[in-house]
Parts: sequence; C-alpha cells; structure tokens
Amino acid sequence: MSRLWFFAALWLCMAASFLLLGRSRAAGTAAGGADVPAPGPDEGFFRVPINANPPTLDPTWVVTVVADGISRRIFNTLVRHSPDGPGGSLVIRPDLAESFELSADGRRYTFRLRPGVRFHNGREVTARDVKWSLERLAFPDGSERLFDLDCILGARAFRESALRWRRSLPPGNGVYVDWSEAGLGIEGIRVLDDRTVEIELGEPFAPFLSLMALTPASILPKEEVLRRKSDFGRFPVGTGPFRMAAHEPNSHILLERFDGYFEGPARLKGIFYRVVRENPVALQEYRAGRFDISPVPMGMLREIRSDPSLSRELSETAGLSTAYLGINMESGPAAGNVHLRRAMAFAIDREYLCSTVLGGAAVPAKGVLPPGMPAYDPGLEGQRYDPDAARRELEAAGFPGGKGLPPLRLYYRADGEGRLVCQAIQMQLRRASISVDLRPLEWGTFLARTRRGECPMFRLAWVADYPHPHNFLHTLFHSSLAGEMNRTRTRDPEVDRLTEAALREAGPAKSAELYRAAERRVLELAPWIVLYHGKTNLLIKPYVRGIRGRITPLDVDTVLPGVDFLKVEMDSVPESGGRR
Amino acid sequence: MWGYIARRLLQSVPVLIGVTLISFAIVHALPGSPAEVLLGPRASAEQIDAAAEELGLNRPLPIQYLKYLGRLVRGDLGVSWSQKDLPVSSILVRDLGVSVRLALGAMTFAMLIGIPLGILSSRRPYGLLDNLAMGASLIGICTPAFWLAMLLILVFGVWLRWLPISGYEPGSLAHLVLPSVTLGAISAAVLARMTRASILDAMGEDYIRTARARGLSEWRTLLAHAFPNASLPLITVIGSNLASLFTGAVLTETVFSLPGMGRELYEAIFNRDYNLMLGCIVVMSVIFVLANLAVDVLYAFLDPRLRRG
Amino acid sequence: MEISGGRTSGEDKDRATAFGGADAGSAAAGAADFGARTEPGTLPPTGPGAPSPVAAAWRRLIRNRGAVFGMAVICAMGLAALAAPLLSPYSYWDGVPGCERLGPRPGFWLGTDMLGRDVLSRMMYGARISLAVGIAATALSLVIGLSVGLTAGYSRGILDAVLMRVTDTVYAFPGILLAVGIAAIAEKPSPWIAFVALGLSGWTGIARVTRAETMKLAGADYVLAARALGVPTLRILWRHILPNALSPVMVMATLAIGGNILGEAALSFLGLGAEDPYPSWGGMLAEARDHFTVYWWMGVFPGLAIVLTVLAFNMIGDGLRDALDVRSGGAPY
Repeated sequence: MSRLWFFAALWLCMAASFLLLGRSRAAGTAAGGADVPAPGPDEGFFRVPINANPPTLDPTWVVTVVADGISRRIFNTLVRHSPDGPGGSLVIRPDLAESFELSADGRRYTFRLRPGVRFHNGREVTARDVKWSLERLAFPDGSERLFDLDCILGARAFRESALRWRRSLPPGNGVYVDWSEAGLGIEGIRVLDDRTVEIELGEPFAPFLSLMALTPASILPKEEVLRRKSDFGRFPVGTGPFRMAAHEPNSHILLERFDGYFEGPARLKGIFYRVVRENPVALQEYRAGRFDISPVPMGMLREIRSDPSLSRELSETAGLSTAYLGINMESGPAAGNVHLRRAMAFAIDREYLCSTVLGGAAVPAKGVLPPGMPAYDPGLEGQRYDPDAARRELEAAGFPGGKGLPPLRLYYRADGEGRLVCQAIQMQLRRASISVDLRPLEWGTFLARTRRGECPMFRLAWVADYPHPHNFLHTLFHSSLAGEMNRTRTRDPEVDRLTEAALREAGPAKSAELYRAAERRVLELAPWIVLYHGKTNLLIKPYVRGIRGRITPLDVDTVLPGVDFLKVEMDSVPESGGRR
Repeated sequence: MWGYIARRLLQSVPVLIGVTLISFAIVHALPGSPAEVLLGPRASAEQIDAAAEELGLNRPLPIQYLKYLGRLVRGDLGVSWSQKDLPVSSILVRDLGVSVRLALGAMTFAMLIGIPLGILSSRRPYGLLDNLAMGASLIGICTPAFWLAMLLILVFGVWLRWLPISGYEPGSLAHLVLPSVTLGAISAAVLARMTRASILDAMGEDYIRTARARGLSEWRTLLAHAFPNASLPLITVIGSNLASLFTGAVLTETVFSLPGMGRELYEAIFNRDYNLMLGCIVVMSVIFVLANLAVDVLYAFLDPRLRRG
Repeated sequence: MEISGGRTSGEDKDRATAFGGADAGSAAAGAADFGARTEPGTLPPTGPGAPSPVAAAWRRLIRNRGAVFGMAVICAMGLAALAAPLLSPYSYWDGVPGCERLGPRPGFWLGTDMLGRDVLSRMMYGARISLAVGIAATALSLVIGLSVGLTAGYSRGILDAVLMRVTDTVYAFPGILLAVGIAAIAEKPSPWIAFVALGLSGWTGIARVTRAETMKLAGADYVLAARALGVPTLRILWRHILPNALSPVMVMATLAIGGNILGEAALSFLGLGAEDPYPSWGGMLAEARDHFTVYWWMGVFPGLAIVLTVLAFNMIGDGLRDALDVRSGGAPY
C-alpha cells in the first residue's frame, strides 16, 4: 500500500510543480527588472511575429534582417532612406543630421546635427558620438558591411593600428573598449564642433550617403556601450522612437514608446515581437487575432490572393533582391565554357519558377539589377527562357544533346525555399539534356564551401544593402573581391573597368549608362544565371495605418526596417480581436 | 546505499568526460568556422581571420579542449559567440526553465492519460476497451512527433481555435498544452502498455488470489493490491523518460517556437557556437546521468528485495 | 531529442533500464514487458524435449493476428519499395507540367506536390529509404550492441567497466550532434547519414540486455562445463551464449526498426537526410509543412505511411515477444 501512496505523492508533486512553474514568471528579464506580460489585442502595441531570434540588437553587429528591423526602431542614423522620390523610389532624407553638404571635389561630407536630440538615457547627442560610432564600425570585429566603409580616409589604417592596440590589452573586455583613450581614431572623421562633423573620403564614393543610412551606421552612446558591454546587445540604448522594455531571447522583445523622441512621440504605445519559427504557424496566429502582421508562408500566396477577406489585407512589394545560380569561374565543367553557362541560362523557365513553384511570390529576372534599383534597364533583353537556343548553345559548348556532359553539382542551403526551387531547376535542366546533381548543405557548411570556391554551382540570393547598383555590380563581380563577396570568382577587366568608372562618374545618367554596360557584360559572361527578384509579401490587419503603401524595397521581413514607425497607428481593434 | 550512490556518481565522471570529448571532436570536425557563420555571408576573409584569432580558434585542439575542461571544472561555461558574449550559463538557466516546464507538462499528460488507460485495459484483458486502448497507444508510439504536432495545430489551433499554437508565455499554461501533448504522446502510450502489462503480471500472484478469496471487489483488488505492486517498473519508465523529455524536444520546440534546450543546442550547432553547444551537451548529459541515477536509487529504495540485498 | 532520445528509441531505453542495464535493476529484469502478452498458461511448454524451439516460436508467431498483420504490411511496403520503378505511375523527380498542387483524384490517387510530382509515386520510392535505413541502422546497432554486450558480460572486470562506461557515454550523448556532424562532414546528404547516426547511437540498449543475459548464462552449468573442457572463448560465446541470449535482443531489434524509421523521418524533416530529389517520407513532410493547412495531402499521406510502417514493426515485435516468451528470461532451455 505504501507504494501506492508514494506513487500518488510523486504524481501530485509533478502536477503541482508543473502548475507552479507554469504560473510563475521568468525571473527578472526586463530592463527595469519588472516583468512585462504579452500585450493583448487592444492595448496599442503592434504585434509582430519574427522567424528567428536576433543574435544581438547592437547595430554595429546587425547581421540578420530581423535584428536590422528591430534595431532600426531603437536607433537613428545621420540620414535615412525614404520612399518619397518619384514613383515611390528611395531618396536620402536627413535623420539625426538636419543638413548635409558635399564639397565640390566629392570627397568631403559635412553633417550638421539636429539640436537637442537625446539618447534614451537623457544625454544629448554630439558630434563626438558620431565619430565614435562610425569608428566602432571600422574597429576589428566590426560590422559585416565594413568593406565599403574603407572609402573613408584612414579607415583601413585605423583598423590595423586598432588591431595591434587591442592585442596588447589584457583579455576580457573583448570589443567593449575605448580606442579614443589610446589616441586612436579615423583620420577622415573630424569633429568640427559639438554639432558638426566632417567626413573625408579617400576618393569620391557615390553611395556614401546610403552607407550612412544603414542600420550599422547608427549613432550609439559610448558610455552605455562600455558600461553594459555584451548586455548592450540585449538592452540597447539609442535615440529612436522606441526603447527596449523587455527582452527574453528566443521568446519575445517588447519595445515601448520613447516620449522624448526628437520628432515627437510615436503613435503606437509600443511594438511586441515574438519568435514564431514556422511561417504557417505565424499565419494562423495572425488569423486568430494574435498578431497584427504576418508573413505569407511559401506556396500560400496563391491561396491568400483568392481568399476574399485575406486578399484585402495582403500587401505585395517588390524587393531589391536577385536570386541566382552562381557558377564558379575558376573550377568545374562550366568554368571555362561560356556556352554551357548560356545553355543553362536559356534552359530555365523563370516564369514557371515564379508563378508555379513560388506561387507568385517572386518576379522573373532578366538581369542582375532588380527593378526599382537605379540604373535598372527595363528594355534589357537579358537572360530568358528559350529551349531552342539552349540546345544550340549546348552544341556549341561541345555537348550536343548533352552527350559527354558530366552531371553538374548544384549546391544550396538545405532549408528554405531553395530546396524546392533547385529541384525545379534540376527538372528543367534535365529536360534540356543537362543533368544536375543536387547537393543541399547546411548553412554553415554552405557558406564555408562557397567561400573556398569548392562549389562549381550554387544557388543564392543577394539582397541589396542600399539602393545603388554599386552594391550589386561592383560588390559581387569586381575582381578585387573575388573569393569574398564575389563568390563566383569572376575576374573580368571589362567589368572592373566599367564599375570603377561608374563610381567615379558624377553625372547620374552617365553613371547609370556605365552600370548598364557592366550588367550586359556580366550577363554575357554568365557567371550568374539569374532566376528571380524577391517580393515582400505580408498580411497587415486593416486597422493598422501607416504601413500599407509605405513599405520600401529595402523591407524584407515582418520587421520592416525601411518603414518609419513614427506615423504608424492602429484604430481601436474590433471586439473580436480581428477574428474571422 | 550511500556507498552505492557515491560509486555511481564516480562512474559518471568518465561518462561526462567522454561526452565532452566526443562532442568537442565532432564540433571541430564540422566545416565552417564560428567566425564565418557569426559574421555572415558578407564578411571578408580578413575579418574572419581576425575573429577566429579573437575566439582563440587558432590554438591546437588538445590545448583548446584542456582549457575548456579546466574552465568547466571551475564551473565556467564560457560565453556564447552567437549571442554576442552572453554567458552560456545564463542562457542555459533560461532555457532550462522552459524545458523543465515542457518535460513536466509532457510527463503529467503522459501519466494522466497513460496510467488510467493501462488500468482500465487491464480490467478486462482482450476486451473491447483493452483493444481500443492498446490500439490507440500503439499508434501513439508510432506517430512522428512533428507530424502529430502538425495535426494538433491543424485541429486545435486552426479549426477549433481553442489553444495558442506557438510561443511561450511565462504566465500561461495554455501555451504548454499542445507541446506537452505532442511531446508526451509516446510516453503516455508506453506508460499505458507498461501499466497494463505489470498489472496483469501482478494479477497472477498469490496475494491477489488471497485478496480475491477474501471477497474484495475486482476494482479494489486492482487498485489497492495489483496496481501498487505493479507500479515499480513504472517509476523506471517515468524517470528515464523524463530525462529524455528534458533533452529531447528539438522538433516540438521548433514547431511550437518554444525557447528550450533542444532548440538551443540545434541552433548552437548551426551557428558553430562551440561554447553554447558544449554547455548544452554538458547540462543535458548531467541531467541524463542524474535522472538515471535517481531512478535506480529510488528503485533500490522501493524494492524490499534490493534493500535487503 | 526526438531523433534518438525520448521519441524514437526512448522505448528501448526504458526497456534497457528495466531489463537490468542499470546495476540496481537486475531484479526488475522480468518487469520490462509492457507489451500485449498472451495470458499466462496459453503458451505451449518449451524445453529440451519440445520439437525445434525456432519452429515452435514461428508457429506461435503466425498465430498472433497482430504479428501477421504487421508482416503483411511490411511485405507489401517492401514490395512497393523494391518494385517502385515498375509499379509507380510517375517519376519521382519529374513533375507533370500543369498538374501542380492537385488534390487526390483518379490518376493522382494521393494528389501531387508543388512541382506536379505524384505523391503516391514519391511515397513508393520513399519507402525504400525508410525501410532500408530502418533495417540497416538496426543491423548496425545489433552488431555493435551484441559485440559489446557479449564481451562485457563474459569478461567482467575492467573491460566490462570500461565498456559499460562507453555505453553510458553513448547513451547520454545527444544523437542530433552526431547526425549533424556526420551530415556536415559528408560530401552530400544521403540516407547514409541517418543510417550511421542512428546505428551508432542506438546500440546501448541492446548491449545492456545482451550483457545481462550473458552474465546470467555465463554461470549456467553447460557453459561452465564447456569452459572446463577447454572450449575456446569465442566458440563458447558463439555457440552457447549468443543463441540463448538472442531472444530478448531479437524483440528489441524488431521494435528498434520502427524507432529507427521514426528517427530517419525526424532527420529528414530537419533536412539532414534529404538527398534531393530522391524522396523520403520525413523529407516529404518537411516540404509540406509550409502549407499543410491548405495542401494537406502532401503531408498527411507520408505521415500515415510512417505510422503504418512503424506500427507494423511494433506488432511484429510484440508478437515475437509473445512467441519467444521473453519475459521468463528469453532462453528456452
């Protein structure tokens, strides 16, 4: 009998501990130590599903789109991209800088800061913060986007000396150190007075202002970074319209309105981000009224378009991205055989990929540059589907009817849409007598292998960092970046010459012409077989105002880094919580 | 008894060393360096080199391993690289909270369903109820967790909309229901079958015949005599299952977006976050070893034959 | 993790501990039977006098309806898998243009997927992976588990202690790391990854049971007699101990096949076993997960196939347990 009692007691203990643990809240995780429960549907918080945990919100290290979008809400940059141009195109607008000017030689930018802008901790922003924040980007182990920052005079020298200096420090502080105390700094960034900073470039760099609008170029308070160290990434302090209220990594992030924002307080009370890893689950939660915005899961766009109520909440925006098959130009059967590459380019039916495989979630690509990018050429003939031409090119390549052609290895990331797309590509290439061996790889392995040039063919997508063709045609094809950004290892003097000339050219029309020539050259060489341009497809509740129509091509996810959330507001939510 | 516990604890030391050694070897055999994954696809070779130097990855492997062990002995699990220098211990404490709740939830569900089901079916072996219950539990054992999760989401989250289908809110039990059912389904099925079998076993014993002869009702015989005596093996199942529920929920945690240990380990592997990965493995194996030890000790404690021996 | 922990081989873990894997648990050796058993007394007596024990066991097995059902299902699945190129109405990799996303209908009995590929045909090819990996991984576990168990149980002493610590280590090791490790090192994803990962992590239960049985048998009179006569150790193990220790191991192994099929599905679901475009059931589920609320047939049918196959192996395992009367210690002597 005693065993029965024991057993009952054990069971009761477990049930009780489950209930207790279930009820108790996770220990002090909020910034102020207080716990913040998930907001309900009508509390004025905008509720967003995110598909991955942001590794850090420290803008300097923002790597993922999710981190970028959340970091944006907390920080400001000197200038920002705004969709105010003709036809909704992106133009540079002042942000923390109230004005900026460029010297006649195109090398010296002078930024005048707005007066009275304060960090969330109450301190006023000065020109010294600008200098320190930009130097932090160039500091060793800084941002991934640093390769463009080398355009600033003395940035490279600073990095080298900073690296030496840091090695001399006792370990333990990692990157949370102050180089300015050691007298280090970037020569080209000069503080003229409390509100004026001058940045001198080594040579003219047309997209420089775009660089200054990127999230990593956010202005940070030095004292908070040095004090909080690695915690700064979880509880960042910036100047933005929202500030961190609670952060439970892998679970949720709560931002609340910063009432001291320099453009006046935001209309939303706050933003609540919750990690939902599976998109279809996020969609269902959205339909149940637990989110105000939702991604469209892959393959579901068609269904949603034909759903009478959901279709009205659908927002489709063209993005600045291009998905492609990259071909290693140094090794593999296609490396030295331009006809084989062209045969593949002709053999892929991009319309089929977009409308059938992806269900309308992307638009077919003809060239490297996505529509919406300056210098985009609507009249470009580019790469297109033409089975007859594919057959001719295959013959010219020395493999008539595919005879003698070994299977080509195609590498891609094993998770995500690439798997289905690559299987469809294999189907299509097989029909054109080109056999393909599919090699899905886990992301880390995939990165390592493509970087080392071990993949003769791979599928990737490039998302523009900023709306400038330099970010495509130079970054991805210039020989100086071969083996780094230039994963296909394309080395072509003509492409190099054209992209360099385009960057030096001051006149926008002339520069665009040069970029178009470079694009045509790339398509002719065919290190890329372009596939499609991505779209940002979202569902947004009808009571949310200020997002629909304001989504920019730089917005890739539910976090919408390009949307100005100051003006977003929500009508009072209907009683049913938006249920259908 | 104490000597036995001490001996078992001592035996688990080489096990833990073995686990860390194998993990360390596998981790370092993975292509792709942490620096590379950390900095993303846009990083330059120069940056990756600098980061690798920073992380101490350029030292010989045995040295790195010994250093790690040295720190481990001092209770220092290091910092997570993918979560920008957050101490691994604080990450694990947080995850453990979720995993403990999920495992307890799953086991509560399993006991709630499995044991009564087993008792019911042992009441009339090979009766209709028994066949139904055992059929159901057999299917429970055969169902892939992620598939069950998809079906549960479809039914309870989408069609009926009774329960939340994702995420974790510290105050909310509703969020744990579907994950617990998903994770606990197999344990429930195993418990049901185990309960039934042990009760049937016990029913053949003399004391049951005595009880019956004394004119006790069938139910009373079953609950007051057969079940308590049959419950011993159940403790083993519960204990060792609980350990694997703690550590083995990566798919459940993924589908329902729960921030638990399994998912953390999975992501740490993909991020090549060595410290976090090893930390997860160490904690998981410690739980595993301790849970199994606890089961055995409990067993010895409850079983008079063993106590005497 | 579900891959090799609670979900898939959790079952044989329970059994392992209960069978006497744990040092204190030897008294519980008989208690591990949680399967459906025939009632006491219905089993025909077996012993040295009975005709062949194997034949007797087989007769009992085919009298068990569940086991027969299981064997029928496995035979059908095996046939579909082997003859997939002949039987399957469509190619597994090439879609039918214009037939994408069709629900079940005549012609496409289980519907088509996003690329217009016939779900039924893909499932027939997928059966190859599931069955092959399930059986091969179990065979690998069996080889390792039996060798370790026999060696440890017969040698005792230091070797036994070392081997058991190794077993504990593997038992406590998260199988997913092994799987990811093998997947990352492999040149390309293939069913081999699942085979090796599952085979290398699933043998601990078998080793423990074998060890316990061996220890018991090593003290039996006929073994002692053989030793006294100077029969070589290997021969004793092979001729006298292994056959008699095999019964519980066979039951475990049959059940483990089901577990390994689930494990393979889980690995494929995580994208660690998928050899695109070759289908596997778990991989098909993974492909279906983004739109399972709409195109349900892409996920429901492969899932059912997994359940049915694992069920079949479990029923055979249960039947085998009854037929071999494992509860009483296994060896019919």
